[in-house]
Order: sequence, then C-alpha cells, then structure tokens
Amino acid sequence: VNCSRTRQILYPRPDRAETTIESAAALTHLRECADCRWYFEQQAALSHALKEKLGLEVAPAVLRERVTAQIEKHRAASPPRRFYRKRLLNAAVAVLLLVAAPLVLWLHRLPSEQFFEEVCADHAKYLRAESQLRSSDPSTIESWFHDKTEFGVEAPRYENTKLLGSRLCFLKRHKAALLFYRKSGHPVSLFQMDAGGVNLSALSRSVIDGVPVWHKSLNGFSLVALKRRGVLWVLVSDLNESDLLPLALAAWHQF
Amino acid sequence: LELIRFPVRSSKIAQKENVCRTLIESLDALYSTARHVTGSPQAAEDLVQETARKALEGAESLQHDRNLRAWLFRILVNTIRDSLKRKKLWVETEIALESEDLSAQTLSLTTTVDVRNALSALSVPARAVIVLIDVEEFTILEAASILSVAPGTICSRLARARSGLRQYLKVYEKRVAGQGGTP
Repeated sequence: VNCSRTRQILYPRPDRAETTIESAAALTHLRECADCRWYFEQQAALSHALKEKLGLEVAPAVLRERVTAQIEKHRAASPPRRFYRKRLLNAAVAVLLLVAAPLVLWLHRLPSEQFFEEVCADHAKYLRAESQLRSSDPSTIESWFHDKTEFGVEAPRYENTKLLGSRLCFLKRHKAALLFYRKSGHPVSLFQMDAGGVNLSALSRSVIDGVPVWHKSLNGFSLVALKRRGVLWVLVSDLNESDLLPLALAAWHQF
Repeated sequence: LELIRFPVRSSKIAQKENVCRTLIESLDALYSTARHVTGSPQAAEDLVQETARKALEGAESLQHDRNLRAWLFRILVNTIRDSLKRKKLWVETEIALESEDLSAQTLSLTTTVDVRNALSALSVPARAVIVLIDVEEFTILEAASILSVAPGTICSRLARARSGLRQYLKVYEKRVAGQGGTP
C-alpha cells in the first residue's frame, strides 16, 4: 500500500480506525514512512486540539438530580415488582403445566380407551362365534371379505388353534373384519381394520423380535395389536397376553 | 425451572446495575454531546433525561456483553435524531472537501468560542461525527454503530466535517494573520 491508501485505511488515527484485511500492510507502511507518521501525528494533534477547544460541558446539577432520581426510582420500585410478577408468572405456568399435562394426556387417551373397550365388548358379544360365515378354511374366509372391506383380510393359520368363521362388524364407525378362533377351549377374536385414524395411545407399546406390538389387559380381556400393511390386527381373548403374543407374532411372520 | 431462571435473573439485575453506573459515569459526556450537537442547553437537558429513561427501560433486555457507553450514546443520538427530524433539522448536507486539511495549528490560533461557532455552522450529523470521534474518542466502528451508518461513511463524514470547520475557521486565520497574533 502507498501513502494515500495507508492514510485512507488508518483514518483518522491508527488506534481508532476500522480493522480491515489491509490494516497490517498499512501499519507496516506507517512504520517505514516518516511522512505518514507525521500525517497521523497531525491528525492526533487535531483531535486533541478539537477536544480541548470544544471541551466537556458539565451536566447541570438539576439534570444530575433528575437522572439520579430516575435511577433510584428504577432501582427501588421496579425490580421487586418485576421480580414477584415474574415469580408469579413462573408459578402459574408451572401449575398450569402440572394440571394440563395429565388432562391433555387423558383427553388424548380417552377416545383410544373407549375404542378398545368397544373391541372387548364386541369380542364378548360374539363369544359363541356367531359367524356370518362358518368356515375353517382361511382362503374361503379371505375371499368372502373381498367385496366387503376396502382392505385385504388375511386369515392366518395357527397350530392348535381352530378357525371357526367370520363376520363383518363396526367399531366406532371403523369397518372391521372379525375372525373367530378357539384355542384350548378359549375363544379368540381377531379384528382387522384400516389402521388409519385408530388411536393406539391407550395400549402399551413393545418391540418383540423386531415387531412393534401394542398390548393391554382391559375389562378382563387381553388385547394384542399390531399393524401390517396399513391394516390393524387386534387379538382379543380371556387368555393371558403371553398366550396371545405368539399368535400375533406367528401371523406377522406367516404373511 | 426456578433453578434455570435464577442465574439469568441475577445476571439481568447485574446488567441493570451496570447500566445505572455507566449512566451516572457518562452523564457529563452525554450532556456535553447533546449540547454540542443541538447547540441548546435546554434541549440537551431534555434529551439526556429522555435518554436516561429509555436506557433504564431497556436495561433488562440488553445483551450482557454490550459496550454500554456506546449503547447509551446510540440512544442519545437516536433521541436527538428523532427530535430534530420532527423539526426537520436533522439534514445531511454535503460539504466540499478542501485540498488542505484542518490543522491543529489553525485551531491553536482560534478561541473556544470561534471553534464552537464553527461547529454550530455545520449540519447536525456533521457535528455529531466530530463530537463522537474527536471529543468522546469513539473508534470508527463505535461511531458507525452509534450513528447507524457504515464505517466508511463515518470516515468520509469526518473528513468533510473537518473540512467544513476549516472553511469557517479561515476567517479567523485571516484575521490572526492580519493582526500578527491571536484574535
């Protein structure tokens, strides 16, 4: 950088100028250039002279008193008021969260709870396997549902579990296929329905052998649910959950 | 929740105390700047009081690592600007750059009254830049932040403002030269 550029970069004085990528080069030039040093000495002297001539005007006592009073008022009054207001607000938010969180959770779970209660009620209602189609042949049952549901019904085969028949039912406006089985003398209902819009929050979720499974004991029945290709399968029985889980997993792996 | 908020609150209280302290320490400088820029002692008093009110109001929301002195001057300049813009007195006027710089020697030959008169003949933004850089010793970056303009603009405004001062002080220079001594 030359003298003109150095004076531009370091204007009005090296210690007050903006630092740029050229500042180091300008400072190097300044160290080597007597003319530029003289120029900036003049600038510093000018600043000093201006400061001396213009001088510092002392604030009038009245203004000082007013500002001091403003500060004291602010120190004394505002902080505690704001402090307690903030504390009250924090406490209110905390209480609201404590009250609202379980309420929101309950409100979210309520429809789900009601839905699965109805699943259990339907299972109980058709305990005698009151089928619309009596058949133990899975393919007959699957084809029977072809024109009745928008989703594909799959009738799994289980060892030591007998397929008795099927019927169409409605659970809270959800069209469902209901398949009747009997295992060790206990009726087992397998509901299949479109998984869209079904809230599973009332059930507990576990992952068994890499398969996500939802389960719960409700109204004296065990429920085990899983999702397959957008279809929700719900097994209901008075058997234990541990007896139903193998049926659910077997169905998952069978298809 | 309270455990998280406590350090934040105590830090805000400390910050507010810093603002109060800096305000008291800078009161003369703020008044002096307002007086030089507006030329009116009464206006300067009102503007500084308004600045103090705004600073105290904004103290809690202020970032902790802020340059408080520059922040106070920024509030003052904004208050002056708002007040003078309403009266259409904050006007940016172009001053031609002279080939010869204003020198300390020229100033040494003039009186305080001459320099103050010359300063008051400049536009308000030109006065502000002279006062901030030369009297209050802010850096170019600080002055740029206070006046909300680019650093390059501050440099050119300062050069032009000094040039403007020189034009007004020429009269006194000539008078001194004619008399062979100080006026």
